Amino acid sequence: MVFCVRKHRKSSHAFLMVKKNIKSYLLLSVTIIMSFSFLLGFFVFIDSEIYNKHKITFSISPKVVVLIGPTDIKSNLNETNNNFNLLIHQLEKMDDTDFYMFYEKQFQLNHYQSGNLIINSNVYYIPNNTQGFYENHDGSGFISTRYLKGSKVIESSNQAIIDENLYNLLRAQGKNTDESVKITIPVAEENGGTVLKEFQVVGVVSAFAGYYTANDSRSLDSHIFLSQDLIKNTDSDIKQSRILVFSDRVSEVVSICDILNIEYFYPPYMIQRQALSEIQNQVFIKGITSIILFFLLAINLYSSFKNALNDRKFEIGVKRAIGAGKKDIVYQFFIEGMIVMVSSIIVSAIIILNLSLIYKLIQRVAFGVQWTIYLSSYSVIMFLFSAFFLSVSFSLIFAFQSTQIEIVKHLKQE
Amino acid sequence: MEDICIDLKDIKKSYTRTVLSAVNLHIDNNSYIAITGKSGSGKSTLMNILGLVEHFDEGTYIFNDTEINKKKDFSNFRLNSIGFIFQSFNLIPTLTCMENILLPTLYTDKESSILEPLVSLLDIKPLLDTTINVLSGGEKQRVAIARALILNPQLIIADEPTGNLDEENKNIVLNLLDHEHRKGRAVVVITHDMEVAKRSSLIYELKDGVLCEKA
Repeated sequence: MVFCVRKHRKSSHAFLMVKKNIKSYLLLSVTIIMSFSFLLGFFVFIDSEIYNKHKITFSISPKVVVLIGPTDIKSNLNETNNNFNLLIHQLEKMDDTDFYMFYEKQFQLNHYQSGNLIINSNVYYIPNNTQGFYENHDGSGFISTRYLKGSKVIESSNQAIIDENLYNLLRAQGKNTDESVKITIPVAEENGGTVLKEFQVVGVVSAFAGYYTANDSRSLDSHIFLSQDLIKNTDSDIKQSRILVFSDRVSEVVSICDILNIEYFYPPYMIQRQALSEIQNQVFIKGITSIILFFLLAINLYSSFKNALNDRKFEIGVKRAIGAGKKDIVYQFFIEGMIVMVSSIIVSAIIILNLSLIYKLIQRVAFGVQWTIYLSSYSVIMFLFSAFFLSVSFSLIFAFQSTQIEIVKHLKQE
Repeated sequence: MEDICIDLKDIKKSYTRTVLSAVNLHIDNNSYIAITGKSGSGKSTLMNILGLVEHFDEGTYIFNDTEINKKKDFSNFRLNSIGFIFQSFNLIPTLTCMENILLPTLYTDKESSILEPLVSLLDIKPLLDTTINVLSGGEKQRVAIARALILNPQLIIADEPTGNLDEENKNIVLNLLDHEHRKGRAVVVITHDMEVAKRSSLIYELKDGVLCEKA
C-alpha cells in the first residue's frame, strides 16, 4: 500500500470538523434554526396578511380619479365655474394625463319589464372612442367593474355598452342572438320630446350592482354606456356632469382638487393611500419587533456558540500545542461558524416555506380563501441583513474566543 | 537533521508558589536529557516552558538564536521544531488515527514525505482509519509519536511518555526515542521513572525549583 501524504486544506478541515462535531453543533443548529425560523416566519406572516388584505386594492390602477363636475351642463363649462376652468387648465398642462367629461342620467326601462321586475338604469354618456370608467389604462377593473367582452369603446351614436346582468336579461328574453344584441332606450330629441331608439350592443362589462327585492317587487340596477353625441343638442334633465381623469400624477390632481374645493370620489388612489398608510404602520411595528428579535437572537446565539466552544477547548489546546497559530484557529472556527449559520438559515427558510404552503393549503381547503405567500423587499433586506450580520459577527466572535483558550489548561493532565 | 540550540538561563516561574526559581539548561542535537523529580516539583511546567506553550516570569530563553518573550506567539517553532509526546496522548477523539497524525501538516507548507516509513516503523498501518477510542494505550502512544514526528522536528519533548503503558509498550516507546536520538534529534524526557531516565545520556533532577545534574 502506497501512502500519499496529502496536505489537507484548512477549509476542508473545517468542513470535516463540523461533520465530526455534528452532535456538539446540533443544539446550536436547533437554536439558530428556531430563531431564524421565528424571524422569517414573523416577516412572512405579517407581510402576507397585509398583502392579502390589500391585494384587490392594489390590483386597481391608481391612475383614475372621478371628479364631480358642474351642475349645469347646458352652459359652457368655462363660463359656469371658474374653479373648473382653472382645473381644466391645469389638467391640460399636466404630462401623462387624459380627461373627459361624461354625464349621468337615471330612468326605468319599462318596456323590458316583465311580471314584477323593475329595471332601473343608469345611463352614462361618454365621448366616442374613449374608454369608459369600467376599464382603465392597464386593464384592471375600476372599483368593482371590469371589461368582459366586445368593444371597449363606443364609436358612434347608435352603439351601446351594457352590464352583464342586462345583457343576460336581453338574451333570456330571446329577442337577441350572441352575434347581434340590440337594446331599445328612450332618448331625448332636439324638440324636447322622447323617442325609443335601438342601439347595437358592442361591449359588455361586469355589473356594478345586481338584483334586489323590495316591497314585493324585484328590481335590477343596470348600467348602460352611450355616446355623448346623443345629448349634444337636447334639452336634457341631466343634473350633473362628471370628469374622468386618467393620470400618472394622481396625487397632484387630488391636491389641485383639494385647493380648488372640487369634490372627487372613489379614486383608487385614495383607497390605496389608506392601505399604504396601514402598511407603513405595520412596517414600523415590524421594524421594532425585528430589532427586539434581533437582540434576543444575538443573546441566544452568543450563549449557544459559547456552549459549542466549551466542547472544543481540548481540541483547540491540542492544535495550539502542536503548532497551530491563532490565525489558523480563527480561520477554522470562522469557517465552521459560517457553515453552521448558513446551513441553519437555509433550513429555516425551507421550514418557513413549507409551513407557509401548509397554511395556504389550510386556508384554501378549510376556508376557501386564496391566501398568497408574500415577502416584501423590506423584509427580505431585513432578514438578509440579520442573517449576514449575525453569521459574520458571531462566526468571528466564535473564532476569536477560540484563540483565548489557554493551551496548558485544556490539555489532558494525568 | 537541522541544527537546534536551546539555552535557558535563570528561568523563573511562580503560581501561588515558586515552581521554578533558577532553571538553566542547554539543549542541542546531541542532547538526550531526562528530567526527574517528585510530583509537584515543576517538571511539567518546565516542559511547557521549554515547549513554548507556557510563558515564564523571568530569565532568558534563546531558541535557535531567537529570544523568546511574552509578546509573540511562537507557534511556528512549536510546529516546525518541536514534537510533543504526552503521557495522556492528547489525540483528538473525533478524528481517525490518520487525521490525527496529519494534523500538523494543516498548518505548514512544508511537505512531509515520511508518513509511510513512520507508519512502518511504528507498526500502526492497520490502525490508520480507526478512531482513537478503540485503541489501547500503547497504540495511542504510537499514533501520538507519529504525529509528533510527522514534520521531522529537531527536538522531541516527551512528558511521562510511558506513564500509561505496560512493560511491552514501554520498551517499544523507549526504543523509538533511542532510535530518533540516534538520527540526530534532541530528546528531552520528563519522568519520575528511573528506568526511563537511565536510557538518556544526561539526567537532571528538578528540586526546589532548580535543575541539578545527577550522577
